[in-house]
Amino acid sequence: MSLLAVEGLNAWYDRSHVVQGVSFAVPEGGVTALLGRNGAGKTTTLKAIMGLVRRRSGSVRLAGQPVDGLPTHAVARAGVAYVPETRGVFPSLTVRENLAVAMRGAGAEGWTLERVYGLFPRLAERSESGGGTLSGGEQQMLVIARALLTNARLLILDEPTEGLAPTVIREIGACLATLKTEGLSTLLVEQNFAFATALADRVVVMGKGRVRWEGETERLSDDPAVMHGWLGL
Amino acid sequence: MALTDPAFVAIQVLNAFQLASLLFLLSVGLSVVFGLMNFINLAHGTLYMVGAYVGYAVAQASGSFWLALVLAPVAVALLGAILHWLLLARLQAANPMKQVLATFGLIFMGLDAVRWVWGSQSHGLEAPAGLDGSVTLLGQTYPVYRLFVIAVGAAVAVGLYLVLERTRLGARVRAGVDDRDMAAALGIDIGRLFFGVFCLGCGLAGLAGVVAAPVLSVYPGMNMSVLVLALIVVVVGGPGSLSGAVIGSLLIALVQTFGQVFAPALASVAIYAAMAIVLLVRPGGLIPLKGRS
Repeated sequence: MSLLAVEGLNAWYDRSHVVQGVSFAVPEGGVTALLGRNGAGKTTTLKAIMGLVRRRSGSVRLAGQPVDGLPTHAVARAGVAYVPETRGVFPSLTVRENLAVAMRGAGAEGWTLERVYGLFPRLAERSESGGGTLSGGEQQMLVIARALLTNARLLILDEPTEGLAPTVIREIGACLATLKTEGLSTLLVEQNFAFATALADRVVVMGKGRVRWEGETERLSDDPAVMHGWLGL
Repeated sequence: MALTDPAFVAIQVLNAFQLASLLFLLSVGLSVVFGLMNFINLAHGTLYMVGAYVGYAVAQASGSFWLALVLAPVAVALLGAILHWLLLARLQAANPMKQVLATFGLIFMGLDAVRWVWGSQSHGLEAPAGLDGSVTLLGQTYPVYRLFVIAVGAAVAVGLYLVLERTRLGARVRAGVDDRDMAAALGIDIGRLFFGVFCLGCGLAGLAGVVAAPVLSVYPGMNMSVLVLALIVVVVGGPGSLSGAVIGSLLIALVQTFGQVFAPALASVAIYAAMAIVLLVRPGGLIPLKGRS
């Protein structure tokens, strides 16, 4: 059974029908990349899954349980951690507070402050700094760490490499690869094709609000129509 | 009597602190609720008035100011919970004009309700024994009760600071003010948080009412002048933050108090002028919201 199953998802942004009957699945474990050009509807798809768009329809299931129709905080508590494109660092909270607000009294085996500080030593160094003072790379580390602390079953990342320097992108990539080997399930939206395909086992390609291709990453390059037509490569 | 007389200036500063204390109690709830949900509650002043009346009624019935000081805020917080449940929860997704009109309507319902129960005349509430005397400060006598009002405001400010800055719950409130959607995406139930903050803010408005009653009298319409001042404090201080409410209250109270002493005819203009200057220099208020552009 898929961890996340999206079926016939529709979402509207103001009056435009941005997501039109999108269906795809994210298996348990591994990284699934959601690719497509700007305006393909990727971000709106993620927001619709999280209940962050006003008007949506269709079915979203997490491990078989329906989560469509739930308010955003209930989707999060059901086990989905969402890191938006804008990252969503709380600027008036310190790094430590940004992390603490996400913790929901999990058991000993879950993510702890020590464990995320181990994964991102930079955050431990800056733990008392204000969220608004972090560099782009530190912000991205913080929001990934914060998402992990919710002990979610599925991590959703929207454009984690956007605006970051190549060295920082490599660092984030290494961290996501580590998380993948630890068995975390991730849904990754990314414009950086090389970054996404290096991490992802499966790829879902969206174009003009619909799913245009879905399959294993290595088979994507066999399909020049998709590569050229929907990814512009 | 002029700015050259240190004793006179000190007394006016104390008067300003006393007014600032009341304005703070009123505006902090208004401010944080606005920061969290962009919700404008024009009936906040009405809750202050209800707090004063409930305090007056409890003190009349029991003979105890202290019981009134405890029960009035609790009663007003409960009233806030009922209002939220019956009306405001349904307006949260609605456009701001509906909130303004609905809460504006509550102002008139509140006015008639207190007239109906307590009549149109004004009532006095006496300061309790121990706080009803005066002390001599720099050769001038000053009512002890006014110092008590300052102390209540300061104590609430310190208490709220500790909760907001030192607890995870407080961090969640600040997170919600910074970015409501992101807080929800981390599993924080913003609706419940908002409800709690709203009721606490209502209780503090009720506290302001009962604390103000021995200084100002209790009458229908006592809410109107204070509502305008509290709204100005929120705008000047910048919505959504405790420090904004503290600084805004102090600034507006100082301008109001010294304005009335030195240029009574211009005092009310001085407040609006202060607001205009602050907004020209810092459009987001003195402590603007960090998460918003």
